[in-house]
Amino acid sequence: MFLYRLVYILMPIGIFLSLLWVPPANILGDASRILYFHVPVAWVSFLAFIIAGIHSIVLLIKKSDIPYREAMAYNSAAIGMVFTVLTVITGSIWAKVSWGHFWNWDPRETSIVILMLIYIAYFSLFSALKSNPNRWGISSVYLIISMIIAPFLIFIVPRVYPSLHPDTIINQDKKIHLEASMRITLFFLVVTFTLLYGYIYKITNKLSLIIIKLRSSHDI
Amino acid sequence: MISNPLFFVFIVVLIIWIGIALLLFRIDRKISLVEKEVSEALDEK
Repeated sequence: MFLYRLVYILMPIGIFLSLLWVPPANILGDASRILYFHVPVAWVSFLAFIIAGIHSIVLLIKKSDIPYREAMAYNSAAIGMVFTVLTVITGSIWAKVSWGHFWNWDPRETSIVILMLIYIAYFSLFSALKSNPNRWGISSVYLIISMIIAPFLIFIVPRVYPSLHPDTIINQDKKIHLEASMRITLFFLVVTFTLLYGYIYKITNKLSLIIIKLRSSHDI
Repeated sequence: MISNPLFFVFIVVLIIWIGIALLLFRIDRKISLVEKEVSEALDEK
């Protein structure tokens, strides 16, 4: 938990680096600084969905600790959902500055919204099956399928169709087109946002465990 | 540095972060406390 609490110190440093230390990008100028928030937030949303999928696989294989593992998958997906919304918001702001409109139906914009809809459907499914004893199995299978779809939507679809979106970090020539200070700041914030995700995830899991313990004690 | 508009953006973002951090810290502390109390109560049972 100590490692995750480092986020309290690392985040202000990251904010300083991204807004005041890094030089502005050549064409976009200061508006490009949103990159240092947009990319880490997008990374965390992807990571959270992958972790939710992994927990679902473990749950289906082990079939033990069902309420806790189910809650862990749900919590990760919920955090991922919040970060996906933040990705769309920061992306739209950036799009307005660089392309002139908040929304352009660019393949990358569209694919992230489809991903968001897939996870909204998961939360609907989860609450609709509240009284179903097989909810854990059904929702786990759904999360695994969503986890398989996510890389297609994030990495493949935007590369198949022509996109206005700038080259991503994992680009076609496998080189990072950023100068050293920009690279350092970006990776610093990727790590910081990952820690933030881990911290929120730990807290939500703790809360879920308390609720599960209390429920089971009432059952006894 | 103060004449730089980005400095004001930095201050605003920092204030927002301080708010989020305080909220997170309080939630973390309260949940740890509840966790301890629940464990003790369940052990007594």
